[in-house]
Amino acid sequence: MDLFLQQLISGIASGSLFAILALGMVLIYRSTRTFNFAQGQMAMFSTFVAWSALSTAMGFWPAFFLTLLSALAMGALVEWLIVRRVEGTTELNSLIVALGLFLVFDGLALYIWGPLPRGFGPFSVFSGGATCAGDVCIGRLNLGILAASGIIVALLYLLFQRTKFGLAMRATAQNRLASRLVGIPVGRMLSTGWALGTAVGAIAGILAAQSLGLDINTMFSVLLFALAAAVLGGLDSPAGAVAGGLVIGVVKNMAGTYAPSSIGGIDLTVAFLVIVLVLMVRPTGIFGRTSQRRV
Amino acid sequence: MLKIKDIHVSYGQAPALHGVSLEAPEGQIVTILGANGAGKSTTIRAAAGLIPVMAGGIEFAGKEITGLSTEAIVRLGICAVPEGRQLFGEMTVLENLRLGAYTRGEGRDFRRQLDMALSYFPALEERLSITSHLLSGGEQQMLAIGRALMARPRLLMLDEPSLGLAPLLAQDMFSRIKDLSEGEGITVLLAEQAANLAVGIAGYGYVLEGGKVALGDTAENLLDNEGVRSAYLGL
Repeated sequence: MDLFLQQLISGIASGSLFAILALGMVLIYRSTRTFNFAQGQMAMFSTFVAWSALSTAMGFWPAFFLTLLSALAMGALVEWLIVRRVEGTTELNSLIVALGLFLVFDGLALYIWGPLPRGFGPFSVFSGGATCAGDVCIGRLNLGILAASGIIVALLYLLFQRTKFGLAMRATAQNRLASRLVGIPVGRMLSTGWALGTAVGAIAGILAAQSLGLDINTMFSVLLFALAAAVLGGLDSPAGAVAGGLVIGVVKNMAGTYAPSSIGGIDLTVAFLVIVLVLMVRPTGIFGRTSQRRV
Repeated sequence: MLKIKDIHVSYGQAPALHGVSLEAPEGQIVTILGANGAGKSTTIRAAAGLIPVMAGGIEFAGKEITGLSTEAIVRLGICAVPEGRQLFGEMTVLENLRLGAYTRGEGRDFRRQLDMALSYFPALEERLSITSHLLSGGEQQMLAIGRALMARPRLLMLDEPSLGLAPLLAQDMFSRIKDLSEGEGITVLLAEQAANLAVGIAGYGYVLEGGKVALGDTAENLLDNEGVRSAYLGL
């Protein structure tokens, strides 16, 4: 039982990390319908920005907020400079733009910071003894990931459900033409979606790199599961991204624990099997809008 | 109030309007009649800044508005309710109305504006927390116009407000449009295929044919015009 509980908690913690990155993808998808698989590389890039800030002997929190600001600016700039050019054309174009972004951030990071892995944390906020209840323990970093995902979800909820700006962002995600008709500056909403998505991704990067180390491939495995989480939850649903992330994290951990150890990589296989099964029943994901078209 | 001067509009290669001029004087209801594809909707979309105008100009309250963004045009006091209503289907009636007031304040002004809009469409009052795609067709049309009222427009442009409504409901809708134009002093530009209803509340009307104004006259004269009667009014 203790083993089960322990694995459940670890699963929820790693699932929260997938959830954060997936949440960033969903924010971007909702704004311009771009399936942004450059999300991982953009998060990695931001984490390198944090690393550079920290190497100037800046404290963790100043570096963290500086990184957030730069990620916000970077996201808005990407939307404004690049994504907007292919707006309203085909889905293939926006996929190619995402691929291009992937290569650009990959190349830029390699050019600026080089191929060698860098030490990154764990920072004092996230290090120290584990918190235990009986035999079930949770480490400080995992606790930090849980807290971070909780705070991000709460803040986004307040933004979307309690502010006029958030209402306008939801409106833009739902009906562009109607949004223009009521006088919402649609372009600014789209940039904001990218800005928020990129900033949330940066947080995922800063959390992930503390256990995975920092190099240009750091976010690959996280991205894979985050993509799965976003698709599982429904690409346009923030709540779905969180639920999807948690499901994937727990299933992956359980499979890794209880499957015979002779089968390598079983956690990945089982996690993706679950996705296939869910999507067979609900093609738009658990929380995704059913793709009904109204006249 | 609104002056459209010889505008030309095309969709890609296909010309839609070649030289449409019309006027809507302050406080009046002006209707645009015409067959499907005559350019009624295009005229409204051009005035709302939803499609670019290639030549000619649009003037509102003495100010040139050609080329302005829809957002800027809404802020000046022009609201369009296009064909198909364009509601936020997954949001509640109240959220739709709040979005209608996006360019205006949220506080006491909002409350006053909400009361005003609901006074013309009282059926919406008890439906405020209902998701708008669950409304009936008539209620959706009321919400579409109500949402436009929330922006405190001086000019309201309505495209086919009778579309999909039963004849009695359509008639009721037109008498409300007349009421709110008189009650709030709002100028109305009304594109309609249900021409007899539209001419019934309008002071002036234009007939569009193939992207051009074929005729412009007072509502009374249009009703007397043999050609208009047979072609558009079904009399």
